[in-house]
Amino acid sequence: MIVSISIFLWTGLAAFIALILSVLLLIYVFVWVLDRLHETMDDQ
Amino acid sequence: MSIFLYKNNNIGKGVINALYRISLFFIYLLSMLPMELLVASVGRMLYFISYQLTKYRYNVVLQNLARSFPHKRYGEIDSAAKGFYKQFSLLVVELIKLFSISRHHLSNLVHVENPELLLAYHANHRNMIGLLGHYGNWECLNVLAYKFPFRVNALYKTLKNPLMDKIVKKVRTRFGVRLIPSHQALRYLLKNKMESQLTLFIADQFPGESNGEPVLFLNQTTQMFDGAEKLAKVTDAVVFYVELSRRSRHGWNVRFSLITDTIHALKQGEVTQGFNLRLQQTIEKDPSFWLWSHRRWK
Repeated sequence: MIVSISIFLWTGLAAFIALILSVLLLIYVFVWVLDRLHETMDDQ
Repeated sequence: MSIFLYKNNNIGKGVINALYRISLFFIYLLSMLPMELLVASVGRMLYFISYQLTKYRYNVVLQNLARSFPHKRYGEIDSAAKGFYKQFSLLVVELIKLFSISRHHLSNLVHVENPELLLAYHANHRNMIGLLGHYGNWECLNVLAYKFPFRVNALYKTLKNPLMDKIVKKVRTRFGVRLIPSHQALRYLLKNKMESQLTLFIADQFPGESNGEPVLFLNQTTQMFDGAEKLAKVTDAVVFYVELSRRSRHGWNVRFSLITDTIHALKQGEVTQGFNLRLQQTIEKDPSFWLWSHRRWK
């Protein structure tokens, strides 16, 4: 019982961390792409 | 992105090619979604990330707007900034859609109000230059190469990042536009001087402190790019202002207005001034469509 609860909690935590990291990666990629698109206008 | 440090060797090129294909695959898949679904998902997410979550270049946007419209109150400036982020998110969605949209469909979305003006100059074998700003969805003008019987070129500045450069080139040339690197523009246009063609210049970006023509643009003394005017003189081209306006939810109206067809009769700077005035009028009609997030005034 304790083992299954422990597995459940660890899996949940791993999924949560993966979700947070995915969101952060998405934001990073988005900002990176926008900066590259602005680059020719900014870097004169 | 340290892999891009190897851009000059074969391994780097191979990696970039692989990343290019992977990126293109995912962008293409995304762009296959129906437009309304893209707007509701990607568009809303982009708006949330750029405006509400990260406040992407918010200070630049606010500063540009406040200096351009000094008579507006803070609330109005903030509201204009919000409008800009909404339009900007839509613009990104439309850019994604350009990767898979058919020529026919894009041609229906982009309506040229007065094609007869260009066709008349084409019939007289005149070279044509179109000046536009970063206003509306300027990338949709790529479809002009499909709509007109003459060659359409666009001046192009290579992006530093080779992956992004390849992706942007891919979408810009999909409908037959020929990209001319900005440093080769003079040579190219002189070489093809006798051929009637349209060359598009996005002419509202900062040209550098010592370049360009000083003008009063949006209440600020501004160095305005005058390279197009010089090229027009050398090639004796007809110069147009290209104005974009919203026609429908995702459609655009393109209107050409003549700046001059007798460039040698004008004084130095008059074409740049003419462009500047027209662009300013367009922006004042609806400021949300201009790209306020770039550092125009440094």
